[in-house]
Amino acid sequence: MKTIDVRHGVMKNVADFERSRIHAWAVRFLVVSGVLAASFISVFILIIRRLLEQRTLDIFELFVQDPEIIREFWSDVLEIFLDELPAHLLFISAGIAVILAGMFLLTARKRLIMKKKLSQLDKYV
Amino acid sequence: MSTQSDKELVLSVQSGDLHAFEVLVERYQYGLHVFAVRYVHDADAASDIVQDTFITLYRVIDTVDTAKKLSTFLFEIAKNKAISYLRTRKKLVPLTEAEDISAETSFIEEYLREDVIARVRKAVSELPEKYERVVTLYYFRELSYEEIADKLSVPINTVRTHLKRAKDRLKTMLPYEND
Repeated sequence: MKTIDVRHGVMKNVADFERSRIHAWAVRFLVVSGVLAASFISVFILIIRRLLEQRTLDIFELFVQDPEIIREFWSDVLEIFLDELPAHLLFISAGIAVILAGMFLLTARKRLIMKKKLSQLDKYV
Repeated sequence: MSTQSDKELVLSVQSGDLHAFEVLVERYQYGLHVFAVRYVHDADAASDIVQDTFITLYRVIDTVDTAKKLSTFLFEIAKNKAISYLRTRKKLVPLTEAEDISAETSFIEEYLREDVIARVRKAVSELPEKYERVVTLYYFRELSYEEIADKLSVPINTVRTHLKRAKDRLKTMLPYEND
C-alpha cells in the first residue's frame, strides 16, 4: 500500500481555522473592552463635569491660600468632597472598572494560548 | 516519533501546542487510512476521509474527554465520514451489511486490537534475542516458566529475570499503549 501523509494538508487547514478563529475572537474582545473603556471614560467625564458645576473643587483652593489649613481642616474638606461626589455615577464607573478588570483576568489564559498558537501558525502556511 | 501518550498530546493541543496535533496526525494517519479503505474501497477517497477526520477532531479537541481512549473516538469519526461518503456516492449497502450494523462497534474494537497487537509484535521483535525468545514463548506460545527453562536449558530464575527486563523495555518502547 502506498504511504500516506496528510500532515501538510491537515495542518494547513488547522492553521487557517485558527487564524480566522483567533481573529474573530480578538475583534470581539477589542470591541467589548473598547465599549467598556469608553463607557468608563464617559462616566468619569460626567463626574468631573458634575463636580465643576457644583464648584466642589473650589474647596481645595483653601489649601492653596493657607497651608496651615491643611492640618486643621483636611478631614472636613474630605468629608464635603465625598458628600458632593455623585454616588450613583461612582458606582457605575466602579462597576464598569470591575467588569473590565474581570474580563482581562478571566481571558488571561485564553489570550496566552492564542498568543502561543499565533507564534506557530507561520510554520503551516 | 514522540513517546508522549495520546492523553498528554491532547492536553498539549488544548494548551495551544499545534505541533502536538501534528504528532497525533502522524501517529494515526496510516491506521485510519487502512480502516477507511476497507469501507470505501478507494485510496484517494480514503485519504480525504482521513484528512477530514483529523480536521473534525481538531475542531472539537477542546471538548475531548482525555479519560477516554482517543483512538476509539478517532475511528468513530472516520467511520461516520466513510458512511457519509458512501451515501453521497449513492452506493447501496447490501442487506447483509446493513444487518451487521450491531457489529460495527466490535469491528472498530477488533481493528484497534489488531493494530495494537501488530505494534506489540514489532516492539518484541526489536528486543535483544534472549528477551525476545522468552517473551515469545511465555506470551505467544503460553508456556510456563518451567517449560521455557527446560526448552532453553537455563535456570527458572533466569527466565523470570529475562521476562521482567523484557517487560520493562517494552513499557518504554510502547508508552502510549499504557493509556
